[in-house]
Amino acid sequence: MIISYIFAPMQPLARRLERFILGVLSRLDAAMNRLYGWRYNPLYQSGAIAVVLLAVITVTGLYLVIFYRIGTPFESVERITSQVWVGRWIRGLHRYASDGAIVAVVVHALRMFAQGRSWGPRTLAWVSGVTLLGLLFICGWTGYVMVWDQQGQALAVEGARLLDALPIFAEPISRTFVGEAPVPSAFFFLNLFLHIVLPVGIGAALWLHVSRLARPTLIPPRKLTYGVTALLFALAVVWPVASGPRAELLELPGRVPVDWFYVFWFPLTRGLPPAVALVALVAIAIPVVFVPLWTKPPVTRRPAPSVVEEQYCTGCEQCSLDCPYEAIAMLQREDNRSELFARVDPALCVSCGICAGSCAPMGVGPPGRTGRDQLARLRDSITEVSLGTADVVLVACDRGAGRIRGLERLDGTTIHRVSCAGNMHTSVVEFFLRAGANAVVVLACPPRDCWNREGPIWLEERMFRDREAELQPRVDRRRVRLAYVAAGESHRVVEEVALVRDAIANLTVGIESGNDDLIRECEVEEETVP
Amino acid sequence: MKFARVASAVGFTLFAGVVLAALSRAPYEIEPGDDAIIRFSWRAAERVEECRPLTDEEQAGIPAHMRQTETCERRVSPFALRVQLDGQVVVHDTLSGAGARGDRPLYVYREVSVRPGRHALFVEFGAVGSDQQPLRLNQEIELATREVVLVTRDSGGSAFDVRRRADP
Repeated sequence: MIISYIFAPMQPLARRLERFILGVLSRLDAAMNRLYGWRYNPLYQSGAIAVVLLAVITVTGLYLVIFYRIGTPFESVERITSQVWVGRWIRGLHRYASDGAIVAVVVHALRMFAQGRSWGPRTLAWVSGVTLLGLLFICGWTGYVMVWDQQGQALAVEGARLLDALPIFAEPISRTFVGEAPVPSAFFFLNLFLHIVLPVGIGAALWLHVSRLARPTLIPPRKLTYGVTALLFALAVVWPVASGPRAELLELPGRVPVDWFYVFWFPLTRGLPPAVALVALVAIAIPVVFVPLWTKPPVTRRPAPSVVEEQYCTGCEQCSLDCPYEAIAMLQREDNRSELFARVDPALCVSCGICAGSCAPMGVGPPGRTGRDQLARLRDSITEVSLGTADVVLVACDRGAGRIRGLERLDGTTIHRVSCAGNMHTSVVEFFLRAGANAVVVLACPPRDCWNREGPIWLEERMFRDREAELQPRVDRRRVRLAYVAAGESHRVVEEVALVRDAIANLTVGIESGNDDLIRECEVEEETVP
Repeated sequence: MKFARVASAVGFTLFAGVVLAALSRAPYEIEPGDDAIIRFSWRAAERVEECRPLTDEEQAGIPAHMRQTETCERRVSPFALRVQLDGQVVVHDTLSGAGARGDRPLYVYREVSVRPGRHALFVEFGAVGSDQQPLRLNQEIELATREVVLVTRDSGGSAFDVRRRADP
């Protein structure tokens, strides 16, 4: 609580930082979508790519550890590297996968930060993710010390220097590296032990990281998985990894190749006294770990968790199945209306609103955003007259296509913004067609970039595959289009509108105009509830 | 169009891979310059133990089964370290034992950066206020570029020992 007050002044900074990173990511996403398509955009899949790379690191590491010798660390790594057909490539793959993992984790963390997906029930995921990144860094550190070339020596000496600033060791660790005696095997054993044990911690952090998610995506699409692994393997073959000069404690290391993904901090701390360097590291780590506290919006602007209106709940379980955060449980009902009813756990609910789209009778959702609320707002604001000359309604997700500038200026279209395309009830689409629109184009975020995880996937199934809360069969699907458009892809909106206009050019009959029936359906249902 | 897109994707992927591999091995000057280093590192654990008999009052305050005739206060005596290089004093410190009570062994760890070449080195290390003769080293040393010379105490602690990298 006190910490929240301490971090409160940082909130304007948090918003600015979020907007800045989001702007950069949106541009990069759009560029990557052009290159790879949204399905294989590595920026969207950064979390899953990190998991694949961790698996690659583990498998290659198991091979390397068989040949590693703590008594002759440098020589054993050289021997591995000289195994032309296997060792050299596996070492290269191990190294490049470690570097790639850092990039993937950092991109993933930046995306979560920029999208405000780090606080509330997601705090555990953020903190465990940062822990995972920290463990990955330390694991890389120990890995480079294992090689015992001059880079490893510099890392060992610097690590000892920093640790000696802590008043917890009986003897200064730095004494190990003064050159009085060869570095004992016990040191390399301890280092190897850490290098093997830390990945267990990474595994545990990963388990915690996804523990609050339903259906966590741990593997990217197959083509991307193979592509990333093949790229790293090709690099390992074409540009194999080599050690630097052998560590020599009685000689100053000179200009040596270093891995900047793991050693980027080195020039910054070297010039500082160890205590100052440690304080600086802690001063950087604290705001990163406490991101959930200083990015959390004020209470008044925090979206409320979903609620279930029990009188409408039919116990169909769809909201519970669709919830991406396992926040909805089905409980036994006692009034004989149905066997079960849904109950939202506010401690797990992130207010994504996916349940609002998944409930056919519109009985669940965040306050003010249930299917009923969505329709009520439309009834008040949309009429045939208000559609004007627009023949195409663009339903744009506020987090994605809704952020495209100039969307309103597209000829013959009208924009309807939704907080997430995934929590839009399909009746909204029907409503627009009944109100006189010739076609509705739903502009959802690419599925792997949905801020609410599975919104576009469920929406697509509801619109075209009869998933519960489906778009009614009476709606002509030729007048409805779902497009995955990212924030930086204005050209895609133009293309999608052109495509839907082509599709409806020769259609004459649609749904009868007038929105009364749809509203009445809901009202009748409401009245008949005992 | 499709070919152009695939070619662009492949090209960018390769570029990203090359950047990754290059950053994985970009050179860095860990210790810039040509200077050599003289490193002073050893451990000293000469403890001073001052004992006195316990008074009757103090004895009475201790449970019967824990009573002893005298109490001893142990500490590591402070040491003075003085280093001269070519007649110039470069280190002049008083060092105390480690630990909150100063009763843990004392560790000397100093590094002095020197230009390569021949230098006159004088080191003096002795307990402060002790009658014993301090340990002294007075030697000419030749330092190569980027060489580290270690000055330490021999295993008995009775003399300084200068160590350098064995010739390959």
